Amino acid sequence: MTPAKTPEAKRFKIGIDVGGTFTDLSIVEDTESGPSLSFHKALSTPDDPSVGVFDALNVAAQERGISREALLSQTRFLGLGTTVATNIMVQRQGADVALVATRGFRDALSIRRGIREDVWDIRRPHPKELVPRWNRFTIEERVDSKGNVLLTPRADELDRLAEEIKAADVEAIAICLFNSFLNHENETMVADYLRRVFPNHFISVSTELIPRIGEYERTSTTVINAFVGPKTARYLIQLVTALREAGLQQEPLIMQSNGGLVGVAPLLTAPVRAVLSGPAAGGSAAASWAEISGADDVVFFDMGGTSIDILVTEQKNANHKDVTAIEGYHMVVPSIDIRTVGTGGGTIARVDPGGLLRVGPDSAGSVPGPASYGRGGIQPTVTDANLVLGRLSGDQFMAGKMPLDMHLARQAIDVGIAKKQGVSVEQSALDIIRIANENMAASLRIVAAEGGLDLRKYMLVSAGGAAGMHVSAIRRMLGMAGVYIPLQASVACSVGMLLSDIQRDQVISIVRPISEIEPEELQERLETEAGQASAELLESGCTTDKISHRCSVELRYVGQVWNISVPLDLPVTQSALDAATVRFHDRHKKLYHHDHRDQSVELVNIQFVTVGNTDKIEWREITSVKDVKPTRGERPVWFAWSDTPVDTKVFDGTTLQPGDSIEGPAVIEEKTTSVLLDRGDLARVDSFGNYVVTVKEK
Amino acid sequence: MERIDPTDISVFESKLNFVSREMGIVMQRASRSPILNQSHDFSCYVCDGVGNLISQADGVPIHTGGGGFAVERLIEYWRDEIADGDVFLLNDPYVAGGNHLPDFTVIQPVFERGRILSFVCGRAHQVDIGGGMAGTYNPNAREIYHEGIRIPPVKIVKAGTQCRDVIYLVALNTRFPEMVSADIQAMIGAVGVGSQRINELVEEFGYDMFEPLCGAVLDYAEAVVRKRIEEIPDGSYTGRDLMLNDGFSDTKVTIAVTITVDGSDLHVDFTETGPQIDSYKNSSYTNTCSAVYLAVATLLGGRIPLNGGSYRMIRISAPEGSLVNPKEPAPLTFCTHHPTYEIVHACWRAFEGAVPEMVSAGWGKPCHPVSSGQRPDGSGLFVLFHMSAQPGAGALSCRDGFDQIGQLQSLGAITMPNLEAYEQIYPVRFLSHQFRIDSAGAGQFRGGSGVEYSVEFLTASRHNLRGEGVGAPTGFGVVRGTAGQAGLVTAGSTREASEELASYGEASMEAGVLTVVSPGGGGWGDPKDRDRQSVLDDLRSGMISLECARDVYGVSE
Repeated sequence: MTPAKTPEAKRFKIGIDVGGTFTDLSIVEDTESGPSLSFHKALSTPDDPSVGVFDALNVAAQERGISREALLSQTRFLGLGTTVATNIMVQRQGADVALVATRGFRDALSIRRGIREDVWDIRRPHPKELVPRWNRFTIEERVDSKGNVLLTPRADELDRLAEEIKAADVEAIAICLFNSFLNHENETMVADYLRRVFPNHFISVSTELIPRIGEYERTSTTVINAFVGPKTARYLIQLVTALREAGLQQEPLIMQSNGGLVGVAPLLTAPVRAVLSGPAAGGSAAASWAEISGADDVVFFDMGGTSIDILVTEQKNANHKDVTAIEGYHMVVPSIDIRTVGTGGGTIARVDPGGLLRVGPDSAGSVPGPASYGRGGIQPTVTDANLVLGRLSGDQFMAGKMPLDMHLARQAIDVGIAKKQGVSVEQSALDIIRIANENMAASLRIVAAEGGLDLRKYMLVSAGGAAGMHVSAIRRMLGMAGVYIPLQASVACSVGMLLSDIQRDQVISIVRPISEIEPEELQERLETEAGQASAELLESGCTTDKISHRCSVELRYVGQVWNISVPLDLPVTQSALDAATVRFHDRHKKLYHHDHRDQSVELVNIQFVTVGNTDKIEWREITSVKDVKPTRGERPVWFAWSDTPVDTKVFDGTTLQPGDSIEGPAVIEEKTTSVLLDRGDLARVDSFGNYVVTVKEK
Repeated sequence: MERIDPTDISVFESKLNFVSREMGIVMQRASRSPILNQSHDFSCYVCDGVGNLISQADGVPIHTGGGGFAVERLIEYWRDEIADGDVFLLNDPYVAGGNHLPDFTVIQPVFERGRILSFVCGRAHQVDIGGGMAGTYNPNAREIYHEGIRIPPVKIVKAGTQCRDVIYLVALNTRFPEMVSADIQAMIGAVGVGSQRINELVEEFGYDMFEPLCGAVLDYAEAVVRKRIEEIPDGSYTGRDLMLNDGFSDTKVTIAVTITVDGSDLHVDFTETGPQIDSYKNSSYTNTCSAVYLAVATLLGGRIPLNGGSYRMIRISAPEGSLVNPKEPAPLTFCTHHPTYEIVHACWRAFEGAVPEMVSAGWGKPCHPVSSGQRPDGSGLFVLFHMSAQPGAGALSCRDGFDQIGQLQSLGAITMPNLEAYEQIYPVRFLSHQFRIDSAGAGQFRGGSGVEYSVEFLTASRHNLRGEGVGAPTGFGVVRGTAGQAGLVTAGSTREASEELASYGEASMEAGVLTVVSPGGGGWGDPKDRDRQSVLDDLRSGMISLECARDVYGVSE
């Protein structure tokens, strides 16, 4: 970052998360007594998300009694999530793309390796390919499995290709040739040629994005990049220009799917890196809260109106995955490993044709929303059940800005469930919550089984507005170590922006036994990568002293197809390669319960990560103590263990102090979320003002 | 008995399904052979104390519908000698309720208070089972003894202690003893986790409630499926499908079925199906039942509960000595492919007249061989499954057939490898892998397209020929839809100089090119009713020719 002339001149750091309903803004202001963190919200504006961004900035400026220009000109860091690329994918409203493939292989995109997510869902077709077959062109060329060029594209072939693309009248071109990950000579030749012929087209080249083995995923990634490219680039340029004109002097940074930030310029050619931008900032937030909660390993549980995003940190780092999908379209872009589960506050409960109660996966969303929103929804939802049970307060929801209608909630549950099953409305509501909790716990069990996690050692970090009602029950069901509820739970992702580094990932495929790898040669190749990556980070406003590199390698036993990723120490030496091999055996043993130290190990992919450190917010311990501790009295709340409602204490969370303890049953109402404590739960306010919920010692 | 809380049933059912799922995850993570950890050719499931399938299985559809038979045979054989901490292994279709020899089934009884409440099971395709040919499929087999090792229900863990000798005996009878042992260990690990989860369920819901809840889960599934079957008009319906060769000659083999619908009961009668044949294309009774269940489940749209209760209303008559319930020692290894396709097809076709909107058109039958050879670098044998040479699937009344997709017995769920990855592993170079014009059956919804798949072997190779989809269309059309085109398999020194291969037996060649032109799936409904834009799109895509658009679909631009 460019150093500010005086600290006062650049006193703000801002993180903005554009969500489906709200645009959240977190802001750190340097004050005489140290940095102070606060939050603002504006409604999201899906047609042009920048409107919501500026609205949120307006609110932040107004509350400080300064102009927006003053706010922006005094901002030294602005981190933004963008849902533009995400929305293009969800709505399938991207560019018309032409794909260039090797002759004979133009259908890889459509065959999509035959992947079917749910075997038994036989009536659902595959998602429609992003490039129709008539826009999938081929060129005669070939690279063999060792990387030798067998056939170079002929000049007349290139001319013909250009003519065909011209006639197709597209905005973007994706190029992915067979085996190009081994040798990009042909692909680069085609790209250079087409760039000359089509200087104004968005051109997406597989080896420039991700020189990784696997023609389906590489093609799909290159195509998605081209599909979201023109619109995303236009939006980003327009947003940056607008921010500059509004007074921002600093280069804004954009959140990528990998949980790292990047300047706008590098993203203009590789917008596929930001397709999962929105929830990715949760990774940094989770890691940060893992740090201050004292737990190395946490499960971050971000529950909103329609779904839950689950991500896991191990040793204070968010887990990543290298293949990810959006709406059934696959990308090999390093991403935070986020599982989305279809249970949220708006999830609908119903009695199925066999007479059993089912919850989800469909949701009433925000329109019409739960029945109690009074916007015309008539189907009972999880939020309605929480209201009927007295767990949510009808007049304190969203700090009283959005009253909930108890009568409508009861009616929906009565008609939809209770009458059909011959039980009381309250019993039906308890059943809805039980099944919803069961579904959420089952999702976490699957995450745990797949990752080999021992959940008993994990802290459950509650995020999102709806999680507080359920985390205590889920912790109990899974025997997890505890629940951590940060004060910033409902704006977790915007806070995450303020906690993230600038990051660039590159993946290279070198398929070869590790014993045949020349350390010097690999080191040389990585140095080239390091140079390119550093240049990109400098472009993003980073300074050289903040830049560091790390590397991991994906290894497997010869003959296997699944890889395991382990760290490789830099610089690459023989002993670094040996150490990585040992880590691979160990990891294999941990994941698969067996290893084969005498067998040949093969290198497949290398992930090279370049990080530019940013200044983080430091969580401040709260020391001031007030002497009053008002509660909101008591209200009857239904629990599964009592046939009658239980008089339950209700606390105004904003008045609680570090060191305070609350025993369940109790409800704590924060501005944008409420927390339910069950019998036997003990919540303690820690020195950061966050809640730690554990089991009361007997 | 007091009424069971329906919410308990709902939660119990979802937890049972999770037990299968978690066993599957453990299995995939712990297994050694690529068949299991990459292609997921295995299934995990849970039975109650008498062998009723009570969980929706994780895995391959053809594996589990009849999964309970293995438990029944095990109980018959061992009776009161089953002890806590035992784990059993079996594969034999004649005495042990197996489906075919390559699928090993590992079963652990779950005890509570000295009684068996449940059996947790894993069924997995092995990399080798001995027999006359590497890779578990021996096309030359005329008796089951030629196919591989037969295993009755044996204890591989006795009261918590592994029987090393038995596991060694089994492994030693295969060509890859180390890998087979490792996979058996993975299965033991998986059922171990499953049994622990069942114990937890018993604890959560109470010992007294476990059996009533299992009963309720079965009753629930039965009620849901019966309601759906009631939508089918009563009557007696017949359907048939053909295999074009019997494995040793071009003699056609017919699978004929009569299905009688009576209210919500189904009687599926194979009396008209011919006697058992000499080759490995007979179907074990277990496999026949699984195939029927698969046909019914897909007919009902797939989205139904899938446990033993779902099949209670289905009575299957498969005469002993017939192709769908052969007598020992008939070989039958190929049955999970053929006649599974034919059984499912015959059942679907039976319903074409009665409930056309529920029926799927035929899936094109595969025709690619299994290829093997010596690696040119001297590092040994390679066995190559041409997983990217699959046919297209049949259309439904709501969608086109899937273009090239995995096979019917897995409902297409087997993921194909990237060809770039294959080039790294095998001495081959791919020449093409692309859709085949006009291969899909026409219809209001068209069938899935086959592919032109051409691969150059850089060394000499041998091919186990399985050209089921060659010679005549196999993906039949329904409700005036047309059949997908037949496949063609050729080989030669170059693609141009290639000649057609036989559809069964073996072939070998020097370095050269193998080309599989795979069949298309059948179309559903009258092609003239197809949405005009879809026809124009297919035409513009090159998926259909101008003649086809004009003559078959009646669309001209």
